[in-house]
Amino acid sequence: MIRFILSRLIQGIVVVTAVISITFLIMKAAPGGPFSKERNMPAYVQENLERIYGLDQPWYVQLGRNLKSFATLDLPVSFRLKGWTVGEIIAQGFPVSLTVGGWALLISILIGVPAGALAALRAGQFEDRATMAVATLGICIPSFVLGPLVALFFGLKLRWFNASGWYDSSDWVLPAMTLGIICSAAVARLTRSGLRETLLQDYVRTARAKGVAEKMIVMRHAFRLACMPLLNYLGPLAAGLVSGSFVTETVFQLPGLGRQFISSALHKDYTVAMGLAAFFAVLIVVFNLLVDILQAWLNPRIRLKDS
Amino acid sequence: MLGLMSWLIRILLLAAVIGGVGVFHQWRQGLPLRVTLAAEKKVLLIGNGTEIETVDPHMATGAPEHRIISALFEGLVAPATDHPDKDGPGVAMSWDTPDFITWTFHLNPKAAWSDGMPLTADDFVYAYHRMLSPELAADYSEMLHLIHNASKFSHGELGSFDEVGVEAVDPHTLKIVLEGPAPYFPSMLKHYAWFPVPKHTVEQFGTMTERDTAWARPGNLVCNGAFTLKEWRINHYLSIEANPNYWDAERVRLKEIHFFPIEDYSAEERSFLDGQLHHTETVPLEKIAYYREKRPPFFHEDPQLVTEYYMFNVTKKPFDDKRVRQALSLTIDRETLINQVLKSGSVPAKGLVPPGAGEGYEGPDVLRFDPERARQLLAEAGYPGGKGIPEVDVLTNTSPSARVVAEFFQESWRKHLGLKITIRQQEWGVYLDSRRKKTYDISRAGWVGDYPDPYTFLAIWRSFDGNNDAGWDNPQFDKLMFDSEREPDARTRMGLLRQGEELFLEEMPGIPIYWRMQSHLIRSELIGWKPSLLEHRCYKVIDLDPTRTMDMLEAKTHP
Repeated sequence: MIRFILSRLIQGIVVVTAVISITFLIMKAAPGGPFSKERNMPAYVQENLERIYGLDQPWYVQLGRNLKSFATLDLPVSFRLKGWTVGEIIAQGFPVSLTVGGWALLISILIGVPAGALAALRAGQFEDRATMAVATLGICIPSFVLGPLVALFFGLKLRWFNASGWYDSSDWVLPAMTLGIICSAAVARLTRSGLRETLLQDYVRTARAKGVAEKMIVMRHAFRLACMPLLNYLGPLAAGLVSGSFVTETVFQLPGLGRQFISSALHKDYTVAMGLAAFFAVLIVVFNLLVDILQAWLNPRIRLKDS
Repeated sequence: MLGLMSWLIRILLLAAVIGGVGVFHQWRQGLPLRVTLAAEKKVLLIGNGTEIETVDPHMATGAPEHRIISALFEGLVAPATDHPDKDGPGVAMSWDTPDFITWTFHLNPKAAWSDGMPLTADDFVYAYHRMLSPELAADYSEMLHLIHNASKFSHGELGSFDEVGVEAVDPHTLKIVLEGPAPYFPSMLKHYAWFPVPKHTVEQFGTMTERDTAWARPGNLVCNGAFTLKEWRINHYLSIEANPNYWDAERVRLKEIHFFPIEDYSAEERSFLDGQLHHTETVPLEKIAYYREKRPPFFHEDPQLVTEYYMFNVTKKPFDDKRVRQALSLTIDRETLINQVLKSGSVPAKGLVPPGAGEGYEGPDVLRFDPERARQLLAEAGYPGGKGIPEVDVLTNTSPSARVVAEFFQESWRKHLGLKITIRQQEWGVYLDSRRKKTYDISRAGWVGDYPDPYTFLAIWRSFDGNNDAGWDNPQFDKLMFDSEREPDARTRMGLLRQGEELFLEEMPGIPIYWRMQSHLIRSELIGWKPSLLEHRCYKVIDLDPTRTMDMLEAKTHP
């Protein structure tokens, strides 16, 4: 177990280093730089700036310097937000993304799992078809359509919540609802297929033959195994949700990490983009590890070994 | 019996849920609007577009920064209380000049920093020294180059700052000597590049020329304007509060101003409709006509000192021929574009320099829609009916209006001149890079004036100017600009600038399209707000009156 976790952590370090390097190289390769403005900068200013920030050095020197500062946790300053370090920027945005993402994850599970289970237990019947039709619709609706609709109806029309912004303690509701509803569609489909498959397995048939009550079969025996594909999906989903969604944060004006990530990439703010990409990679690694551990605990057939 | 009970329970549950929702609905609907609560507390809520990069006046570059920094800091000259575009006393109570070259500013002895330290002429010398230092690499340092020897100093050709034309004669007298006469100099001083910075705070957090220090962060920043920095949360809001040490603090009406960085136009509009903003930065293009007709009390259109234009890459065939450039300009029906297609309220350009740029300046009125003459010119240039001109590449950025304009031009040039046009939309940074590297045939561009004078629009077309992305090189034009920089007589100077604009419109390295009008949604509680060509705001006379509240959906006419 400990060896497994350690090897996963070492893999994680490799992944994060690769993510930082690739982010940097892609941004370097794209045209424009962190100081491009509509008004052209005088040549002497441009030269001085490049010298001050070491942008006149070869790319591998710049990359090495950045990797070193991330490795030593001496986080670099933003090119755009003058005087702010990458750490301060993440520290301000993450709580917001975490709140909205956490609630969205909860909503998606609370809607998706019962709906999927209902569909699996009533396979082929009206409940199944209706649930899956709604779920397909949910997968198809993008958040930039659902978000404004939710804001218009619950915000502007009914005035139940603020249509946008991050002021009141209830401001997570509409964005989390938007994200949660969209994600619950996939959760429902995965729950349905997982449970359907499990219910057809031999050990379920054995349990039925032994006369175990249907409720017990589903809740005690089938459901644990049925969760496996869902858990595999929930790991990256959770990482994605708590690190912020650009579209939802734009629609609802949330000061989260999603907006920051996109704007740093567009403004060629190398350090912030690298920092956020690394942060996102760390989250994915951590959540995947958690999922692996959880799966081993739920399914006795899986044993964690050093691969 | 059992069935009946279970149904009864279900019905009761349903009734409870419906009742609960009803109570919740009543409660939420009864809550007052944010704008109303804020107006009662004298807190102004404003949409401010893109998130700012800094509040350090020497490091800033954009319009959102301008709106915040001009509330935090004050230059020698400030927007006048009766109209923000007029020059009023700032740190300087008065100023005089015998020849528009040597300027003497008499500083207000009451002027102080927000921490109570006195503000003296030395602070301005320090600020201009910092701004011009090559080690700071300030983007806008060029704005100060009209000071004597300033350009040499920032190019590192001068050993000591003592030789630059800024001098503290005594603590309350500042003398500035320019390279040449500049009658517009006081109005230029309202730009943040000219604002003072506190030496004692800057050097508490680093050296004079160190970038990225924490001196301009909340809690550290010391400033001299009507407000001080309270809080700044990235992508969330930035709040400022009234500065008790401001020399004119008695006049300041507002207690706080909150600036919200809302980049998405529709999200900003929703915030306004939801009662979260007193003033929006803009209005979505497609909604302008609706608000103008249906909600006039809330809709405001302010002329700006901004020219939108298309420029040619004159280093490339066939655009090295001015007849081709003229022909393309003559086939643009600016009236139709603005009134029927864009519906933005902007003004069809008659020349390059927008109205209001410089007292006593009358620009030429030569831009016409004349496809007949255009075809003739194109034939004279050797391209009858557009034959011989390869596919033309039109470069624009990704804003919604940029696309609409590009498509209108594409169709106009196809219809009237037989040209084949491809539109290339590029993301902002990439688009700027393409412009700079001249990998385009025709490109969309815009220019925001820095001060009300035609020179700010014309100087960028000098052959050596860093902003001349068209590659246009005209010695006669350069000479006119050079002469205007040295002409002491205001009328003669305006004459030289007018000749420059006429030459530009004859040679047509760029096609002026429209003079921008900025739309805003403003709530009725906001009073004392005046439109300004350069978005100057005299924050100290702005006030909120909570009794003037008006229902957004019912108010269809002016009160």
